Amino acid sequence: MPEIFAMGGYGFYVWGSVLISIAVLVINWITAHKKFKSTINEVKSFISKDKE
Amino acid sequence: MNLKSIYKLGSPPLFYKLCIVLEPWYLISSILLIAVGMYGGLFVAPPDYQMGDAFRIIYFHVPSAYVSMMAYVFMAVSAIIGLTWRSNVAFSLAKSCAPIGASFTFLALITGMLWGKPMWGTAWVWDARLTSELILLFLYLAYIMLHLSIPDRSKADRATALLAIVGVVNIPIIHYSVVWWNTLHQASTISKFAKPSIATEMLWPLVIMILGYTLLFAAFLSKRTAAELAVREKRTRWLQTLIVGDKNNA
Repeated sequence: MPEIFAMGGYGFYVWGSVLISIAVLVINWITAHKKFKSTINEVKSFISKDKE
Repeated sequence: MNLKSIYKLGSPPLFYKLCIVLEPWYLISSILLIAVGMYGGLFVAPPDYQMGDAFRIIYFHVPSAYVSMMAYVFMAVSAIIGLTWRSNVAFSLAKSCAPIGASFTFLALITGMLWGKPMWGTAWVWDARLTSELILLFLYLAYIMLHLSIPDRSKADRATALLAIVGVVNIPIIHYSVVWWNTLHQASTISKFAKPSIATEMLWPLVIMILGYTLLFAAFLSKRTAAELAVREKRTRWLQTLIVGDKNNA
């Protein structure tokens, strides 16, 4: 197990790349999802205002 | 695919529905591919004879660099289609590409720095490949800022389309920089025209990761384009019917 973390002495660089990649990709998905949700809510409030 | 079906894709209701239907499939398949690729790259592939385990950064660096360039070409082609046919779908696609492309470019630069530090002894050098990739990040940021700075959406679409089209000249510069100039960055590992300069047991996780990243890009793009189309089409009956009738989006 410790060898997996050590990565032949390059653990910081290899696991650093893995963590940053996962973090950026997850943030990317969250922001896209949030944007979609807020847009749908915006359109819904636009529709209800339009009906009034 | 004939010309008629391409024209049909320019229809906002059809494209919106396609985005909504395809996004989860893109997302699930990309997560599966990335999981397999990561396992293969981090635990199955043997260490490189020169770089040791540090070479495993390739499985994160190359896919993000590939998507960063592909996203820009996609953005520029969408911009050309948008300008030619005044298509809301094409402009929405182009606008949605920018933040996603910027994030993949950022990843390519960061993972490259994390690879460069132990291998070259420095995280950054102003060589042609690194500098042209940094310019790509600036082009994405310029696109986003230009769009934000013009209040009239159709004017913003046209101005940013021109920027996207002019900036596409940077893509072949990034790709061929390692051939045209003497760079610290290594030459391409996979080429369309030559046998890959990497062993098969190291190659398959890389190919899977590239596929996974490409599908992930498609998932992000579908979600953002659906949102962008919804903003642009909020006055239309088709969207209002679709959204009011769809309780799942509450």
